Amino acid sequence: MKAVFDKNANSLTVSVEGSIDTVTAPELDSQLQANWEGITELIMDLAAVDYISSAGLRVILMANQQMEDCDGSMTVRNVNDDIKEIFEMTGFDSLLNLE
Amino acid sequence: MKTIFQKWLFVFVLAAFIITFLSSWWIHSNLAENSAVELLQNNLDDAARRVISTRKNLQTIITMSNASALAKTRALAMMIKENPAILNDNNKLDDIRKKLDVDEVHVSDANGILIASLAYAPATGGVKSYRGYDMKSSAQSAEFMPACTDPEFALVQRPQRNGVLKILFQYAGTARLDAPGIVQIGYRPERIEEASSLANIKNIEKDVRIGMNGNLFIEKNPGYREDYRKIIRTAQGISLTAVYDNYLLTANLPKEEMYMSRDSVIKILIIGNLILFGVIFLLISRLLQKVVINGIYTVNDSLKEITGGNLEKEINVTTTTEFQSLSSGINSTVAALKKAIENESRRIDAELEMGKTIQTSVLPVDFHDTPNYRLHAGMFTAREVGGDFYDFFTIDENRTALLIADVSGKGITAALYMMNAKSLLKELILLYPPAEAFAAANQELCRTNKAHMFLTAFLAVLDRRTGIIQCVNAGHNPPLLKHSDNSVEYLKIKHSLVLSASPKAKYTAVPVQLQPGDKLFLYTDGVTEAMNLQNELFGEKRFMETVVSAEGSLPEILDFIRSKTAEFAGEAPQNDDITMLIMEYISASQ
Repeated sequence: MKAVFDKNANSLTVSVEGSIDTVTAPELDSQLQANWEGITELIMDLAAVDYISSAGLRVILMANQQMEDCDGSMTVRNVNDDIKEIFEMTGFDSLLNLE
Repeated sequence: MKTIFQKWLFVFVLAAFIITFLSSWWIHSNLAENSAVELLQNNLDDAARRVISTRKNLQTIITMSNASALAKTRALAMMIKENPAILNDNNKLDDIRKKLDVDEVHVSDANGILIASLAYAPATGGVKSYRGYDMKSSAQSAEFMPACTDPEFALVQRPQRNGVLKILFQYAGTARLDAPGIVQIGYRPERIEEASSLANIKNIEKDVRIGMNGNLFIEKNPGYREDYRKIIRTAQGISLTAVYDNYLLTANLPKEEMYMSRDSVIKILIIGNLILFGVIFLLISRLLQKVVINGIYTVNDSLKEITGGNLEKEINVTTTTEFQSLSSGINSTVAALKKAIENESRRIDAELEMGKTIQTSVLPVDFHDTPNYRLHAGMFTAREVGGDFYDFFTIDENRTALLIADVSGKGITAALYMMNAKSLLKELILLYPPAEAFAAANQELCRTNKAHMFLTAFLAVLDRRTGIIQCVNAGHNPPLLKHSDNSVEYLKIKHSLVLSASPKAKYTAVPVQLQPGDKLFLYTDGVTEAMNLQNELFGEKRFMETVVSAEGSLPEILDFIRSKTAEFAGEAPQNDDITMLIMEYISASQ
C-alpha cells in the first residue's frame, strides 16, 4: 500500500494505492493521524485500491466518525467496482459520501 | 583491524631492527676499536723489541769489533818490539797490514810524528804513506797522543766519515812497546756499518707493517716519561703512542681498516636481520590472520546470521581460549535469548489459545434434527484468533433464529467483543423482531464502541409453520440458497450497514419463502476470501460451484466445502476464520 497526502489549508486529499488489509491498515491509520491536525475536509481517493479488508473498512469508518465528530466532511472518491461491491455488501455505501 | 595490527607490527619490527642495528653498530665499533688498539699495541711491542734487540746487537758488535781492533793494535806493537826493522821495511809492513786485515797502519815517535805509515788507497789501487804527519795536527788524531806517555793507553774511536774517501772509517791505537810512541790501525768497520744499518730506526719503520695500510714512526725519546702511553682518535683513524726505553713509537691505523670487520659484520647483519625480521613479520601476520582475524570474521559472520534471525546458529571458534570463551559467551547469550523468545511465544500461544477457547466455547454444538429442519455448523479458526461466530436458538414454539457474524479485527479484543456482541444479539433477538433487534443491538454497540470495531452479521428467523425466513443483513456476505433441484442462488437482499458503525443505520427485514429441500448456507468471508499463494481469492463463483457439487449429509457437505477451500489455499496460511452454518429446510409443521 502507498498513500499520498495532499494538504491544502483545511482540506486533505489522501490518494491510496494497493490493498488496505490487516497489515497495511494500521499504517494508513497512523499516517492519517499524523496529518489530521486542523482538517475539516477529508477526501479519500481510492482509484488505485484493489482490495479493502475489514481492517481497512475500520480505518475508513474511524476517519468518517472523526470527521463527523468535528463537524467536518469526508468524501470517498473514484471507487472502483471491486471496492464498490465491498462497500455495498457491508452497507458502507449508505454511510459514506461517495463520489 | 588487520591493517592497524600490521601497521603496528611493522613499526615494532622496524624498531627492533633499528635497535638491533644500532646496538650491533655500537658493540662492533667498540670491538673494532679495541682490536685496533690491540693490534697497534702488539705491533708497537714487536717494533720496540726489534729496536731494542738491534740496538743491543749493534752494541755487542761494536764491543767485539773494538776488542778485535785493540787486539790487532797490540799484536802490531808486539811485532814492532820483536823486530823494529819492519818500521823501515814498507813491504814487510804492508804484508803485516794485509795479515791483520786492516786498511791503514801508522806508527809515531814520542812526539807524535809518524815514522812509519801505510794507507790502502782503493782509488789509486796502491798504498799511500803519511810518514812525517804530526798526530797533534788534527783533533781526531790528537786523541791518541796520550799513548806517547801512557804505556797502558788504548783507544778505539767511534766510526766516523773519512774526510777524503767519504766512507765510514774507524781508528784504534795503543802505546808502542819498544819505545814511546803510538801504534795505530785504521779500518772500515763493515760489520758495524751493517749492524747499525739494521739498527737504523728509519729502516725498522719501513719494515714493520701495521695492518695493511697503517704505519709506524720511531723517534728518539724527546723527553717523555718511561710509562707514557696514549691512544689518539682522529678523523683519519686511530694511533697509539708509547715509550719504550729511549724511543717513542707511534703506530697509526686508518679508519677504514679499523672498521673493516665491523662494516662487513654490519653488512651481513643488515641482510640477515632484514630476512629474519621479514620472516617474523610475515609469520606473525599470518598467525594473526589465522588465530585472530579469521576468528573475528567467523564470529562476525555467525553474528550476522544470528541477528538475521537464525537462532540455531552456533559459534564455534576454538583457535584460542579467548575465542572459545567468546564463542561460548555468545552461544549462551543466544541460547538464553532463544529460551526467552520461546517462553514469550509460549505465552502468546497461550493467549491465542485462550482467545480461541473464548471464541469456540460460546458456540452451540447441539445440532438436533427437528421435523422441520436440520442444522449443522462449523468454525475453523485461523492461527490468530478472529471474531467469527454463529448462533442458533429457538425464539418461541414457532420460530428459530440462525445467526452468523464476523467481528472486524483480530486477537483477544475481537474475541471479547464477539462474546459481548453474541450475547447482546441473542438477548435482543429474543425480545424484538429481527430488524428492530439489529437496530437495538447497533445502538447499544455504537454506544459502547470505543475501539471503533464493527461486525457484519446475517440473521435469518425461520417460521417453522410457513417456511418463511425473515432475513436481515448487516453488511454481511450474501447467503447461498441451494434448491432441491441443485440450482443455487445468492440471497441478494438489501444490505444494511455493518453493526456498530453508525447509530443512524437502519435495518430492514426481508422475507424469503423456503421450499422443502432447500439448503441455506450462511458463511463468513473466510470462505470466499480464502487465498492461495498466488494471492487469488476463492471467490463467490467457486464457492457457488462447490456448493452445487456438494452432496451427502450436512456434516459431509461442510467438510467437503472446507476441504475445497483448503485445497485451493494450498501452502498459503489461513488468515481468517472460516465459519459456516447450513440449514436444510424439510417441511412446515402442521
